[in-house]
Amino acid sequence: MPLTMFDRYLRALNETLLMVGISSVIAISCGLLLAVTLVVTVPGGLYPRPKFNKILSIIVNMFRSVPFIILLVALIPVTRFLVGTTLGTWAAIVPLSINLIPFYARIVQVSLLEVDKGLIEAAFAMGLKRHHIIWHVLLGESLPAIIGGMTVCVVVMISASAMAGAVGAGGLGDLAIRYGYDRYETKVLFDIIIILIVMVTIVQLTGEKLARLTDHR
Amino acid sequence: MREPSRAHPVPLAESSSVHIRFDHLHKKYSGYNEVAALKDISFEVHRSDIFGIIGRSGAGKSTLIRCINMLEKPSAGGVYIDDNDVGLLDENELVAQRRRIGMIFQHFNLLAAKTVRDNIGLPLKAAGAPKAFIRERVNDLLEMVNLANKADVYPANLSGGQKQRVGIARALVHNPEILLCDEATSALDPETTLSILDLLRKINEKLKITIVLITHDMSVIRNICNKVVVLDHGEIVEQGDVWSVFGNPQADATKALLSPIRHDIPDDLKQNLAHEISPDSSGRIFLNLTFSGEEQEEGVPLATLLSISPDIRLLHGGLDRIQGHSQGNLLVSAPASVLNSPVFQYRLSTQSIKVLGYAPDDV
Repeated sequence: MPLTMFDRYLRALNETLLMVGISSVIAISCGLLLAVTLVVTVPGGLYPRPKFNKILSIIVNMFRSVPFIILLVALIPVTRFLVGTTLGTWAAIVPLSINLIPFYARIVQVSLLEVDKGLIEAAFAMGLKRHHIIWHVLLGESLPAIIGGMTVCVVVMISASAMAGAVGAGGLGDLAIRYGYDRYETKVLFDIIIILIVMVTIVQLTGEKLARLTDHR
Repeated sequence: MREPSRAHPVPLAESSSVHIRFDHLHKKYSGYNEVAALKDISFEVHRSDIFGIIGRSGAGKSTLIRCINMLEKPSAGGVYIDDNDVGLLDENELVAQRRRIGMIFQHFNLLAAKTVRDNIGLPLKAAGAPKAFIRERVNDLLEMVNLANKADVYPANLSGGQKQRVGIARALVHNPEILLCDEATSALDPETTLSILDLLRKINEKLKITIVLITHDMSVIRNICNKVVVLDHGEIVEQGDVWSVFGNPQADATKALLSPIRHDIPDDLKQNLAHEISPDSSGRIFLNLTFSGEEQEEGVPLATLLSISPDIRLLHGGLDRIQGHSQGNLLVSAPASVLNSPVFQYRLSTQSIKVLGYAPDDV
């Protein structure tokens, strides 16, 4: 039985949600970890490791400077090693995640650095250990910014996932290009644009709401 | 309020023993310009003292108070608490030591993302105390600082005074033996300042906690401290009982810090004063009488004033009773003829009287 157009939309939406969902979870958790590492290892930080910090920062910048479409191709060997294939949705999750980790890490890093030094000093004075300070002070106080950053991250992820068609990952972007562009089916193109707008709006509004709920300043 | 149980009971016999000792403490900040923040600081804080450290901005008082809980590491010398060098503690020992030293700050340093209850309970939570215990302890403290109805409010919704009360409750949560106050009232209005100082005094009396506070405001020292150290450019320039430092300040820095609460000669008087007495000793003489508090344990007898001249007039000034010593200064005028009296000449030589100037007639 041939697939109806509705089935195609549904499948593409599924693929996009899967790619964006899993990649976001990976990128956000790894990005958080990377951001904390970057912040605490600076000279004068909680766990100062100046050389390590410098190297890590350079690596982050390297990844940040490669456009996603190029990263997608350049990471093929890594993808093959990690998921065993270079085609399909799962193959797109690897470059999507790796692309977003440094991006999210930098967003979080900025907000962690903005935490008042007086709070860290007070935490030391009250007998908190360093890992408590990371959890309760650095992360706790930047929670609204961390959530705000997640919103930005997921939105960028949705747009990047459109390019994942290049490795046969499918998804809404792929559908839009194959039908809307290659076959001149303008309706498909606009339908997908509307679906994407709705998705991004939902993500944005949810993110803003969550950030507001956690912001007690 | 229920009396919180002390983890480390303080025997009464020790109540006048040395609690914190600074031993030839030096602190240098290295860098492009090496700055000596503290130079050879040695003094002792006794148990249950309310000890004031005062100095102008940049005098090194912030650095000094932070050496007590090793937020700043001394470059040389040491800080001893109960004869243990705090600088020699390893990370875990230091954490344990810091739990016996509470600290409050000028800008309160409360976590914006946590409620009042969670802010106060955080030190206990991090120390692994059971939830029920934390809840009970926080309730006790909230009651003590009069904030029982604000437990679930976020700090952003509190006034400055309330925030500082939360800070105080948080600092006391581990039953500390020492409370450090870093300009704790400098961001508060005068009325709130008094209420916070009142609370600190109560805490000191009730819990026998040693309080070390830094401030640039002499009236804070006058209000609650019994001992004071005056810092200037990283050095101790004066120290002693508050009444004696206030009554007879020696260092320029002390005099400068005291000037806002001293009664200097008002401008309108100053403009009319002549420095030369008229040849026939007519007119009036203007005097500044200083009372250091050393002899006036029971106040200043009016007879002291009248003995200068029956026609003495009070113009300006005031006395403060500090630790039972009445001290301050009074500006008075008397007939210029008193200059001829030998008694007066004698008292001039004791320097408790200073001639400010003369006026031909009544001013």
